[in-house]
Amino acid sequence: MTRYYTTSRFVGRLKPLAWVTSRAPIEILEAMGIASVCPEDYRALCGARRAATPLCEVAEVRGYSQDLCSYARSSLGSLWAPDEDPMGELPKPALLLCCNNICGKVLKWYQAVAAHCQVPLYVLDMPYVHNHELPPHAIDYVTGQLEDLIGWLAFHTLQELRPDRLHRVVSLSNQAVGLWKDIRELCTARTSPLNATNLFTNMVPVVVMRGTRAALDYYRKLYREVAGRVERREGALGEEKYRLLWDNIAVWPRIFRLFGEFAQYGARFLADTYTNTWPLVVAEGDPLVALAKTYLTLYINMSLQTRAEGLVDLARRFEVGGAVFHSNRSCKPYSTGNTIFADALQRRQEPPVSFWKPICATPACMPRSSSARASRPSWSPWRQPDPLEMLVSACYNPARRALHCCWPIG
Amino acid sequence: MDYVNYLLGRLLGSFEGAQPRFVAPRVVLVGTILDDLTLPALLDQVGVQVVGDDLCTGFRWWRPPAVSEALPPLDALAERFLQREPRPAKHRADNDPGRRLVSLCRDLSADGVVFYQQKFCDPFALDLARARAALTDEGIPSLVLEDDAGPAVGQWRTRLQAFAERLAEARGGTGARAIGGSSPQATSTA
Repeated sequence: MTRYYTTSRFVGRLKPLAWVTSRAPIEILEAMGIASVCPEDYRALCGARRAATPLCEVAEVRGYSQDLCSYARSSLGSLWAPDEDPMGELPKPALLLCCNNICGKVLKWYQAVAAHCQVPLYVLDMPYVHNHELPPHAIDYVTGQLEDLIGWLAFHTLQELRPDRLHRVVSLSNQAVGLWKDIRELCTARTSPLNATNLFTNMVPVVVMRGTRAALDYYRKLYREVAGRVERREGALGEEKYRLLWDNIAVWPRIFRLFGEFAQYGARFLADTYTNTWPLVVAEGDPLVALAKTYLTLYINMSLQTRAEGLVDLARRFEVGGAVFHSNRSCKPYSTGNTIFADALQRRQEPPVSFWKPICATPACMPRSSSARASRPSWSPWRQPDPLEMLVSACYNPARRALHCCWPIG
Repeated sequence: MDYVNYLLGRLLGSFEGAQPRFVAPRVVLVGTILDDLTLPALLDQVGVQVVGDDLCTGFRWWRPPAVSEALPPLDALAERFLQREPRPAKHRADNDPGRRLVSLCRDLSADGVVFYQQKFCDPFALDLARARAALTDEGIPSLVLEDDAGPAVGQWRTRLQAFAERLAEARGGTGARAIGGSSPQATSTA
């Protein structure tokens, strides 16, 4: 991905470059020859490299509350203090495309970027889907906006949309997304070939490069590798004692350490709701109508009931024995409802659940370090139980069906 | 409704020829939902005068355009909702929360702005930073008070007193003067 973002700096000089939200229909931009980069993804990458905190602080000094999304704060901080960004700032956009099917606050984030960079902003408004069935007026509303968006893009970039190219891009996007879905399904195998770290780090091309040949080639190669692991019954990290489900965004600054801590107990996160939000294939027929339907029915844009049902289905199909709900202060839309989802799992006698409350791009709250744990004396009657042991034990102890687990701070 | 209009007419009539009662610093109160009158009461106590507001539960409701009576009612209501000043959670390309607030302060000859931030309202928190930066550029002082499910009365009073003194000094006065000296409870029921 570093290569992708490095390349984007040069691509941005050759053709118009748009900043887009992660679930915007970039197939249209790709078909029009407009380059795109995704600030959310880039900020996750910064978080994983532990580069987000100083940038967030730059935004906080300018009045942006610590309670706000850390992606937005670090992105805005990077605009004001590019030298503070260890990875270098994103190439400057020629225009912005903000789609609110993931979160309402991206709107404000993009408004601030538009004001700072003095570039045009298009807001693609996606109605929240309250029921299973998509209402026709919502489809018409979004399709109309997509038609308008094409005209807006043409006006600002002088690029045209060729229908045959859009069909080709949508086909490439569908193939890549289909492969990603298949790769995830391979994790239903007993002894999952992938762990959460693999899922989170390998979902990036399907987020930022949908509709490109490069993304398709990447997932073809990845599918072959993962299928080979399944055939060889080769697990992601050796012996698999516990199969777990993760809900919410990864804790980027500690992604390897966190899931690694679980792995020490033989616990594998082989299913999650976040990387599962991508198996959205664009249907046949009018591409704009199909794109409207696809981007309306994103997991996080659906009712809590629909999301709960999807979660229960995921838990069953992947035969998980426990679930961890990451109550993410930085992402309220994703975290809203996690108690409802936990109840849904328990009502259906699905696995016990745990809650954990850090934020996604800054390491404000983390489980204690493995070195701290190692320094404690061995078991004694007064020993404070380790949170991880509590969690794994709660997940697999029928007598304790639920555990609300708040980890030590600092 | 007729009775309300009658009362408002009487109130307006009583203002004719009246002398200005207040010499205190003038502030605009800005936020989303003000569901508790403790803050206005505290503003009274520390001696500043709220000369206008930009609240979702305040004058944002009443600013133009009015609902057209020439259109079918549903069309008129839709037009009104689309054309009125957007709430923080909404978007309109020509909306600049900072510029709009500076303009409001100028129109009302306000000395400063008090922001009331309900912590759950992220859209307003994101607008707040931009609006405050615009005020700073124009030399208009502002204060942010955060509320998380209940007013922090003591802390707010101290901060408001300091803010009121700052505004009074900026006006060249000797300090803020209390308006009536009412308690929060007394004012909230007034």
